[in-house]
Amino acid sequence: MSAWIGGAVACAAVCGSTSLLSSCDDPQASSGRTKLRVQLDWVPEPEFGGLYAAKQLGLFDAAGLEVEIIGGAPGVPVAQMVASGTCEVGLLSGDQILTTRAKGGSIVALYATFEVNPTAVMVHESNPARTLKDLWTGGGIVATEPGLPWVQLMNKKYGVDQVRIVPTTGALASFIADPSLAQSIFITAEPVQMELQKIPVRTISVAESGYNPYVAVYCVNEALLNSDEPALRRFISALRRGWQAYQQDPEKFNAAIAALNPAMTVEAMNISAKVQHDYVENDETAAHGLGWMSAERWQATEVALRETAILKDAVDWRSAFRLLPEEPGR
Amino acid sequence: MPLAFGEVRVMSLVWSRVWPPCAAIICAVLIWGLSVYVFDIPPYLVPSPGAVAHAARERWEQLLWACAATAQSASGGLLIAALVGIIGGAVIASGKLFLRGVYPIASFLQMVPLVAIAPLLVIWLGYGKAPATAAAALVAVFPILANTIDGLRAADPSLREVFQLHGASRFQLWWKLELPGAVPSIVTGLRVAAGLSVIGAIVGEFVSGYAGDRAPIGMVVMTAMRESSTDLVFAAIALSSLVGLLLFALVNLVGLLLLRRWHPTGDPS
Repeated sequence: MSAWIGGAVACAAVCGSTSLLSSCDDPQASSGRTKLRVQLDWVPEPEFGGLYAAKQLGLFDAAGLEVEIIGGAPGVPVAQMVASGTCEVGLLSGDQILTTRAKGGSIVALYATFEVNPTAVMVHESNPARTLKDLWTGGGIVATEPGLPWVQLMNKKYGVDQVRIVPTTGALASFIADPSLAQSIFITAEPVQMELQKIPVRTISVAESGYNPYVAVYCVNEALLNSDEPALRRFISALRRGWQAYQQDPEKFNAAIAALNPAMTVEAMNISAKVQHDYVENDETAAHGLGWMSAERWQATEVALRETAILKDAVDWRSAFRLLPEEPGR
Repeated sequence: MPLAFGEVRVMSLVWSRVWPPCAAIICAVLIWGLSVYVFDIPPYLVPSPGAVAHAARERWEQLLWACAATAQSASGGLLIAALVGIIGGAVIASGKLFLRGVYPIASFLQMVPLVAIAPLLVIWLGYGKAPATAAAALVAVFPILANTIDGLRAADPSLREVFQLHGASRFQLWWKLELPGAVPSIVTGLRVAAGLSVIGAIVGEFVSGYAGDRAPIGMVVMTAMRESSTDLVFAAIALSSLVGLLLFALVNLVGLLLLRRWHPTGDPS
């Protein structure tokens, strides 16, 4: 009799632990809410302000979502992580989404944070270069992430004989030490740090030089979009409301973000949020709402990638993004 | 004309050394290709061997230049590591004071992660080959240093007594007994350091390499990752292993020339 009881208890333990383990991977978490892991492509900064604001305001909870925000770093393979299902949502640039789709990764863009590409090249005030052409033909060094499409566009346009392209880790020590160095940055981040350190710099915008993909785009695996669109609609709607709150009063939320990123002070984040305001909002978002994406911009990005030969064949840019209907707040 | 007995013996020796690793590599590639096919693994996660070969063929010129650049940094770093390691090892092994005072510091420096130092190398040495060579030297020096010290201190005590009985000076003891006895150990250290120097060079290139048609392997890998070209990443990694193997073979050749006449480790059979 005791042997039967022991066996039954053992079976129950095995079944219980199996169901517990399986619920860890089940998007329908044991709390009944849909679990979404959001993988950032950089450390917590104001460029993700709306996401953190939505979480702080409880907008995701109210939408029946359990959102986990995973901080990023240089080199995190967000595209592969979203395409393989390691995380449900990832942040990428529009060009990365197109190149991943070209390699067979079925990821779809749902929300674009930046309507204007905030990528720029930062130079010391003493540097005579005023345009990207000056940098590429002036014999200097440009520190940037290797393989970026806009860099390859410039290489194609102006050649590489008179410029040395070197990698950047995102740190500014080399830039500060060498007045001749130019460094690729986000206009909303590194120049703010230089301003606070009283180092005079100038920025040369990549968007104004002709390359303007959507940046900090929230994307998901197409299979998840097809299987659970309602949850993703609620996520995007809550995210949009979070961004609306953040755009109105970023200082309210920056202290919590700064606690996650000790390398950037609250003061720097407040300045950064002010600078990025007009990169997040423009006439199109006034007409269509924050996070808006247009077919023309996606098509232009695809054409630019084919020009650089990053994309060897045409990619169906129409299926690379989807605008989900708004879900009313709860 | 039939082969002489000696020629047959050499060919048999070479064949017995070559076919086992070739067979292992072919099996590994077959298993890899089969796994990708059977489990339907997407190419952006794990490319098939065919895709990697295609990427290598398409970009062969770029990869060749990349190998040459990385080999240059790795071999330069290995040479610097060999000089510093052997001379430093000889100094540390020469007295108990050095052994107790300096060796622990050298051991501590070995533990410092290269990825943390690499950006500092760029600040101190600028961009290009210098930081990659320095990174290669930093990673490769400790095995050479440790093996040199162990080799020099491992001289047979009874032989040492014989030398002392015959009135040998300290230098004669070192030159005729300790150093020759340490050569096998030093060669072992160089073998280990050869592969490590390639790793160090590539880590250095991640933060200091020049991009472009003649970019080193580290930059090719980073660029390919950015473009989601996993097949090119694999091709670059395979070639970096080849660079490591070539350096290893070179060190083995040096070891063979130094040791073949008198030490068992110098016997190629």
